[in-house]
Amino acid sequence: MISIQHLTFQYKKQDALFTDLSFEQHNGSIVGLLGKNGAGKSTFLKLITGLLKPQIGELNINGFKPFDRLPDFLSDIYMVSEEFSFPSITIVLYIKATAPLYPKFDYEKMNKILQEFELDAKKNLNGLSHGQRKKFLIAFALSTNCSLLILDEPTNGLDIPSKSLFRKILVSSVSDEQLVLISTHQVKDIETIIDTIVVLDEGKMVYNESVFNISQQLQFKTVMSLAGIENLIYQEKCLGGYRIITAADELEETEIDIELLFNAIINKVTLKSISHVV
Amino acid sequence: MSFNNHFNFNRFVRLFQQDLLINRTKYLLAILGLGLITYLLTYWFLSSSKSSIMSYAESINNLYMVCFMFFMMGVGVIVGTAFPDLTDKIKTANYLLSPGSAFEKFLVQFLLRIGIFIPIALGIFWIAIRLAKASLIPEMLYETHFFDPAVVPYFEYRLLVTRVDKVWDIWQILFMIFGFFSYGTYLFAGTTYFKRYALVKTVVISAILFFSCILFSMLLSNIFYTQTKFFDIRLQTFYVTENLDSTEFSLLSISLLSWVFFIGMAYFKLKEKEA
Repeated sequence: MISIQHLTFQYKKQDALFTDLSFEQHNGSIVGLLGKNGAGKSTFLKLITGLLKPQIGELNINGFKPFDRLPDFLSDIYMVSEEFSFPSITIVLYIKATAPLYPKFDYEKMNKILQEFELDAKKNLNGLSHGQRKKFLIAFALSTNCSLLILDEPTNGLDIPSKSLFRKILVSSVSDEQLVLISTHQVKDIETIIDTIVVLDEGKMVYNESVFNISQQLQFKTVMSLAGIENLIYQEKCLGGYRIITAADELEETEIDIELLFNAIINKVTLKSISHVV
Repeated sequence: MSFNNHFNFNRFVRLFQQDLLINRTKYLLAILGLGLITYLLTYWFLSSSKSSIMSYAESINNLYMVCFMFFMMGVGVIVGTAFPDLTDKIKTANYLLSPGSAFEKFLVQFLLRIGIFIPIALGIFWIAIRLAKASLIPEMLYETHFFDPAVVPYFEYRLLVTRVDKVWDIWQILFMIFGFFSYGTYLFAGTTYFKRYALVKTVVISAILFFSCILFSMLLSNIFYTQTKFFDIRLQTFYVTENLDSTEFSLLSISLLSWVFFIGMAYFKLKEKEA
């Protein structure tokens, strides 16, 4: 569980990145954290994991203050960073050395995911390609069964089949006791797996809504012309017409176009019926 | 806050095992490399000092001391490269997030780089230098001088603190032992303070501090003792005990106590580290 109250953070000699930011998220969901470059997504994740110390504010992650970095806190969170490095050892040795540090580590799950990702446990980690190492890291993260999994750009470096496999494995591996926070630019890669969308912009959580509520309140369509469109909230020109967001009617439910929704939020369009706009 | 948050034996063992499993080859090679280099260098050094060994019996102690000082510099390199994960931003994040308390992580590195490593290193030095001495071969140096390795005593740690068959005073021995230990903890603490080139920076700072102290003492000597030549240092000393003057006492105190400060500094720097 993540509970952040009135967080203020700034790097030395820079303007404040977050001012009075509040955010709450309970376990049992896969959250997509979206934001432009430089919006502070990675910094936000570092604050949650205790890698950075906030100047002001209350952060409570699974009942712990992150920056205390207490062992019980650290053994129940796992972060897959965008950039990573491994020692020059085999996969099997890495698991043997590191898995015992995570009390809920599931060795069977690890083997299963390694097989699905077609990773040979006898291979040296530094002999693998970037994408393979990323897959290994994701497999390890999922096998820890930590209450909070943080994935920073998890699909970067994965090929198309692996992205699809990643979605399948993630959905099947995560339990209701876990909270998965996925930070990404590549919204298309995760749109089918997330159940909550959070948008970070200009140091604030400008949007925090469940996919279910969004689909109840908004419709996403591609139309040839804007003529006769009622309840238009946002529109973008595209090849052969317009991509639009309208208020939902009771007749049909459409698939969420996260990219379009994200653009609408960033362009400060008021998504009228949304109740949780911060 | 419970003690378990800072130290749990099982968790500590798991962290220790993790480090050993990941770095065992590196550690083994470092120990073997250190032993081999020590053997080769001491053999070369003793071989090239045969005439001085034969002409001056006491010189072997000095030679062994020189070898030991160089060996301790090598040990210093290993101590001064503790916390290798803190040299890189990505590795730092992984290291800080590995499940263990700051104290346990500190203790793992302290044991690996000082607590366990230094006794092993001293054993390696003892073996290597004795092997080097055993490898010396008899030979004619000049027409009248014959070098017989049998007359050269095998290395004993006792020889390092013996001059003209007299063992140093206790305070001198303590000064040397704790001097090495304190400087080791200083290098160790430097690795938590600096991100990159910690060893070089720490050594450079210690050299700057040392020469600054000398310069400052020279300056004070020239101010308060007008007859002093510029490069001379005059200190007002008095006897603290029967055979320990105030300067010696100050140096001994620094040597005996400074490690406490450096160890504390290393722990708190690690605890407050950000990535």
